[in-house]
Amino acid sequence: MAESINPDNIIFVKHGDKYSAEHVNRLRDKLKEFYPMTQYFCYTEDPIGVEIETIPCFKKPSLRFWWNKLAMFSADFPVKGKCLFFDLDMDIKEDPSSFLKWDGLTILKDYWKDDLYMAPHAYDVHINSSVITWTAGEQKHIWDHFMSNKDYFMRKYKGIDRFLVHEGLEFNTFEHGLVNSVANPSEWKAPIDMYNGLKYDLQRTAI
Amino acid sequence: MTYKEQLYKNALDSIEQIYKNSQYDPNEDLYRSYDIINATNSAQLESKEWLAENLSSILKNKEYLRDGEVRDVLIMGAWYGITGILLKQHLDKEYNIWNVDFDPCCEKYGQLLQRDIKGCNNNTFITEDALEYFFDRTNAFQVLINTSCEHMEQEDIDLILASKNPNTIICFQSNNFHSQAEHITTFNNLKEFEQSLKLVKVYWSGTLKTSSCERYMVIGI
Repeated sequence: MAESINPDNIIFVKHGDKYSAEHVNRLRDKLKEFYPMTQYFCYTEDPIGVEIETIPCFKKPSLRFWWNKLAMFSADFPVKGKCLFFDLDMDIKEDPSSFLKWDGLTILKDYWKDDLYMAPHAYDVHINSSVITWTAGEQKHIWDHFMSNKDYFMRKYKGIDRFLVHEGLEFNTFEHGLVNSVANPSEWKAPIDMYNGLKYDLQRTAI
Repeated sequence: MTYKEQLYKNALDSIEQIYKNSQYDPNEDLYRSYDIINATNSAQLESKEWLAENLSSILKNKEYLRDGEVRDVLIMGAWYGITGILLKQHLDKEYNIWNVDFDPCCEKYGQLLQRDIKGCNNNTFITEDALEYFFDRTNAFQVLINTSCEHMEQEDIDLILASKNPNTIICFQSNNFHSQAEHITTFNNLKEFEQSLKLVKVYWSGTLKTSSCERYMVIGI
C-alpha cells in the first residue's frame, strides 16, 4: 500500500434536504481526529448550521442534488491542492489515510457488484463516487464535458457515477478495504461505513 | 397517412437507424432511441397538442397581433422539434418556425422526425444555445415558445421577457414536478407561474393534469 499523504482540503456537498448541517458537522468532527490541519469546506445552497467554511453553489448553472458534485471539478471551484470528498452518509470509524492516493481522479469500486451482469444500455456501473480524491484544477475537463450537453446527460444518466464511466472519463479506483457497505457487508474491517442507498440517520449521542 | 402516423413512422425509422448503427459503431448512442421514444410519447404529444391548439387560436385572432402578421416563431430548447411539427398542423399560414437547441443531435433527429409531414417546410433546426440565439436577435420573432421553463434559471427567463419586443407573444410552459433532479425552476400552481412571468397582459393560461405532474401554460405579452 502506498505511503499516505494528507489532503489539503476535505470537501462535502450538501444540496436539498436529504442531509442536514448536522451530518456535515458530525463528519467534520470525525475526520478532524485524523486530519486536524486540513481545510474543511461544504459546497451548499443552504449554509445555515454548517460549522465549516461554506462555498455557495454556483448560481449558473443551477444544479440539484448529486449533480452538484461535478462542480467540484470546475476551474471556478475555489480550492487549491489535494482534495478529498466524502458523501454525507459516510461514518468514519478509523483513519482511512493508508487507502488514499492522489493520482488523477480516484473513486471507489463497488466490491459487491463484481459478479453482477450489467447490460451496456442500462448504464449501470461498478464504481461509486462516495469517496473521491483529485488535485484541484486537474479534472476540469469533467465539468467542461458535462457542461457541453448537461440537459442530455442529466436525462441519460441517473447520477454522476454513470456519467463518469459511460462518457469515458478517466479514473482510478481505491484498493478494496476502504469502505464497508452497510447494505452489502464486506469481509474486511473497513475504516469507513457507507450507507449508500440506505437511510442514514445520525446516531443519538448519550446525554 | 395522418401527421401523427407519419411522426410515429419517422420515430420508428430513427430508432431502427440507431439500433442498426449500434451493431457496427461502438460510439452509437443507444439512449438516443429511448430519448426519441420519450419525446414522442403520449404525454409529450398531449402537452404539445395542448399548446398548439391554444396558441394557434390566439394567433388566428388579429386582436392579439399588435405588430401585424406573425412571420417568425422561435422555439427555445426545442428538443426534437415536436412542438414545431404540431404547431404547423394547427396554423393556416406559412410561418417560419426556428427550433433552437444546444444538443447537436436534436437537429439531426428533428429533421428525421418531420420528414414527409405535411406543412413542415420552414420548420428549421438550429444547434445553438437558445438564449444566445435569442439575445442576438431579440426583435426577429413575433412569438417565443418555451415548453421547458423548468429547466431554465429564473434569471434567464426574466432576461428573455425584459429583452423581447413588448408586442412579442410568449407561450411558456412549466410544471410542479419538483422531484426531478434536472428541474431547477418549478412552481406549485398556475398562479405562481403566471405571477413569475410578470406579463403586461395574459391572453390565456391553463393547467394540464398529467399522470406525473401538473403542467402550466401561459400565453401573453
